[in-house]
Amino acid sequence: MRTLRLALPLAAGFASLFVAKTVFAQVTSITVNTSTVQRQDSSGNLYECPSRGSGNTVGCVVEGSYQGIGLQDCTDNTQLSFSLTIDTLPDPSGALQVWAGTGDCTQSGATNNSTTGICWPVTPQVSNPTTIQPITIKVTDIVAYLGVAPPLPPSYGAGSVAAPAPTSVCSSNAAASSTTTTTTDDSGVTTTVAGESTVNIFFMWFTNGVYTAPAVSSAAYPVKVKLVGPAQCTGVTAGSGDGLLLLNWTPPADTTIQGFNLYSAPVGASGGEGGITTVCDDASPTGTELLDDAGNPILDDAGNPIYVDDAGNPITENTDAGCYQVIVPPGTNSCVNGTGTIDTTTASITQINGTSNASGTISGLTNGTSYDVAVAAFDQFGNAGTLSNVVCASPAPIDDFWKIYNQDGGNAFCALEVVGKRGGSIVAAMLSIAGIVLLRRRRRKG
Amino acid sequence: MNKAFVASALVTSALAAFSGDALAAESDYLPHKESKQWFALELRFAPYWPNIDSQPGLTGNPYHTIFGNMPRLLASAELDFQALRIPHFGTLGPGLSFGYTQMSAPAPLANGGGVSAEDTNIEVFPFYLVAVLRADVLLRQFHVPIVPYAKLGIATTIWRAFTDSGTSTYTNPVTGQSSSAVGATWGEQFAVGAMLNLDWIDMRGAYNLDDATGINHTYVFGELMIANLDNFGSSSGLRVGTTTFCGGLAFEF
Repeated sequence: MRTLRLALPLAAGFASLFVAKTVFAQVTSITVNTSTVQRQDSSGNLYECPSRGSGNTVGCVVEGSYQGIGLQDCTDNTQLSFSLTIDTLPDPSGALQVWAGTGDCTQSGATNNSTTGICWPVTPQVSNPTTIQPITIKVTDIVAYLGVAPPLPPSYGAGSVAAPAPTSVCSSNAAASSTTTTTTDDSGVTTTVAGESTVNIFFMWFTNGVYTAPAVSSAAYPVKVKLVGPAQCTGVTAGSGDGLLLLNWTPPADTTIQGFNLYSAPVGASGGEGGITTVCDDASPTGTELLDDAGNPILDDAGNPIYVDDAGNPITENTDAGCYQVIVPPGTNSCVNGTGTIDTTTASITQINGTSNASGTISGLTNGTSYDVAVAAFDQFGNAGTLSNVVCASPAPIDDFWKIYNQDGGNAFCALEVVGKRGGSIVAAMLSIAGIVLLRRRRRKG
Repeated sequence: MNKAFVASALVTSALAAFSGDALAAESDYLPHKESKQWFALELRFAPYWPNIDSQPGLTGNPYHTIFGNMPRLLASAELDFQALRIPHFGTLGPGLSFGYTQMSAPAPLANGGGVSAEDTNIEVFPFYLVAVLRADVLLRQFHVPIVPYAKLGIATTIWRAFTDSGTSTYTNPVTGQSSSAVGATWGEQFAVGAMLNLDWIDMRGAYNLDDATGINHTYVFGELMIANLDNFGSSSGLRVGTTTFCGGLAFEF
């Protein structure tokens, strides 16, 4: 009996140990390692965000410590990589799901609900994990249902949720992100930012096959989304300088401005207005040479004969079958009549920082060449705003003071390369005065 | 001549009488031991016209052509070491000054079609080292708040001409020689002037200032300044010197 009394607790103890090996503890804590959050390109390489303007030169961070998602980040198909710390793994009955939304995704009905849902999935579910690898989330998935209420992704089903990636999500959600958002920072300062949204990414742990909120544990990571740029600059004017153009404009009253993009493109650039483009037209494979009344070829400034196409436009003869080059005539949106256009994707960009700049210089231009120029403000997300009016100007040589001085016979040498006769006597006088002072001081001390 | 003499005599007498009374009145009830005085600091402001167009050999007036007749404000500071006190006369010692001014104007287009949007500029950094003789005997022994002074020394001005593209350069089309618009021009520095002592406005305040900061005296001053910068008589060198009237505040401490 006594033996039995001892054996039973021992057996129970062994049994409990055995059971403990087969029952997993429940996940109670998920933590996002915020210091390791990384922006990647679509191939998983570290991604350098477009310029964020002054004060935000470190990667893709905006407003202090937030990952900022701008239109370029979205169209470049970038992604965010997160590493998580989960306290108890493995947990074969659990799963990790990642959702995004502007509200609280941990509340009941916020997820997996086509009626009351306010959040949308951004990665496939990770089921029965033994370890948690870094989780990458596409920016397009984060912004996919921004402004859509309720969000209706293709699948809300448990188990696997394939996050949608609409091809036009970046531009179609630009308007959605242009709402006015009021945020309060850690120090209690409230700011209102037009066109900016805070999207929270929720890493939620579900267990026992229950995939509806509330999750058993979760962690949230906020990101800032702004897909529209600042308001339009107006009143752009351009003045000529030597190899440069000086632009003036009126900046908009927009608190999101971080700087300004100055766009320039030479009028007549390939494919642009006034430029040369290739036209294939079998009816006129080589063009017609222009002749004067005496039957002699009319030459251009370079001494070459001039050819025109069937429409009378000047062309450069091209021997390719059926194709020739034609100069694109100025159209109704031509720089010539003061309402030119500019292709911001191919134009040269000079970027200047500063929230209230009203002037800037585009340098490195060619004198005598006409340029279309325009201005657009950009915000700290790298979003360029609406393009200003396009104006046309040509850099030109100037007569600065130094040129006029030299042309008038001036010859200024650096320092004492050439010294006149008085130099020695002045130095002697100075030394004499210094000597007197020293002598008198020494006598006084003596 | 007689009028000027009478006027100056009247002003001097009035100042002497006033300051003498003030000093006597203050010193009657406010004995004060002055702190040691070694230095003088001047904050100087002057209209500035460089003598560039006076350079021998110039066929035109390049400065006037570009910048016109409008003077620029030259701001500078001078620190004097009053190394030697001459009994019953004043102080003698070296003074070092530095300053800055800049002039800008729209650059003409080379084709003669008016002015461009680009500015052409000259900036100058004048420096000089002078011997300064201040005759404060009137103030110290006769309570006349006037301190005449004179300065003589050597000066240099570092200059640079530039546009929005940076420092200007010029290549002579005949010789092909290129020059960059930065350099320095040396010469002599002269000045004569007078300082009006301001302590009499608030003698108690002046004493307190001396006790608290070591500033013995405060002045306003005016002087005729001549910076004869021509590399000591050379025909070359950008003549950025000037002859001008200068004014400002001075402190002895």
